[in-house]
Amino acid sequence: MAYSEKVLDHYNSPRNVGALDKNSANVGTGVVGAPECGDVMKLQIQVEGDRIVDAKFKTFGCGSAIASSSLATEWIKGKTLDEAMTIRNTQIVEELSLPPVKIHCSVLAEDAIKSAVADFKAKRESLKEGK
Amino acid sequence: MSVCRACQAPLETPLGCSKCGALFTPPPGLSPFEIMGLERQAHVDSGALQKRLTRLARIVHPDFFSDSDQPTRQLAERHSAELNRAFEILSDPVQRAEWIVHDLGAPSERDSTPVPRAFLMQVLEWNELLDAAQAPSASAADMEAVRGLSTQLDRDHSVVLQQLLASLDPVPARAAPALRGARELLNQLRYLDRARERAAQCFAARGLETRGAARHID
Repeated sequence: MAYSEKVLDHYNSPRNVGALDKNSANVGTGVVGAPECGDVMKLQIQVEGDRIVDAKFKTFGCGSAIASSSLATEWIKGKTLDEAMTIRNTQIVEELSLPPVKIHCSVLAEDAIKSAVADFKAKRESLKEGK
Repeated sequence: MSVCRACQAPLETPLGCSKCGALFTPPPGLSPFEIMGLERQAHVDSGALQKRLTRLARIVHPDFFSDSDQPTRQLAERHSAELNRAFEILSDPVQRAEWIVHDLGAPSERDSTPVPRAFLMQVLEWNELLDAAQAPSASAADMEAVRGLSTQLDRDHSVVLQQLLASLDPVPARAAPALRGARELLNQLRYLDRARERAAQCFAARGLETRGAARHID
């Protein structure tokens, strides 16, 4: 199956690969997986106030999964948490011209964003309670 | 248990009758349990299963139909193939569990059945370790780490498999919540198998034997 140029671009030079300190109070870590293909995706956000100032990802999976998470980190940087939560997998499908069999990769990326935001919010709540 | 349409003897398999030798054309989509004439069950005695295969194979063996008309000969061949396929599935504990879970209407692997976050974190760690070992810069220490990982994966696989079979014994009711848990364990086995395959590739790339990695242990 041929990948679109945009997928190949993200695959060959993925943006924001790496890790943030998952123990930091400002960092939210999302981990999601797609068992049927064995893909696993980690997406982390660094938050100041309500704004995502940095994002990193590490994905083990196919080209489309890597491209979807790479694009996701690009899109959420600079956005508020609420804005990031509005990103839909369909936008990723459109931007990367993903074929129907690869739609689950974009779903994974959307879930990863939500998972990272949820992790950050839970952390913030537990820190508040701890005070 | 149903009986033979031709001679009224009890049937051991819907494929044919052991008493009068009649072959039947059962409805399509039978489960491997149905084909082998067994109740759905998580734990299967492999010796008993083998014996059952031998006995049932005799009913549908094409050699016994060499004098029959062509449609009957073809039916015997199809039934033999189906019987062997059912045996293969039931011999493999993971495929067997997959069938039970599927048969009872559990969520499919495509539904987002959660895999625990801690487990996914582990999957990430395995993959990072495997990436390091597959990189051109891989060191002997990296390969040693993969060896350790491989042992751990084999152990985890057998633990999760035992949990899975225990969760299906006795077989849960249709659409029972327990099936969701079983699906989650099947998902974990997928990840474990995938990592074991990658570990085996690491060894193969270096000409090392794989110590039977990626084989199922019942």
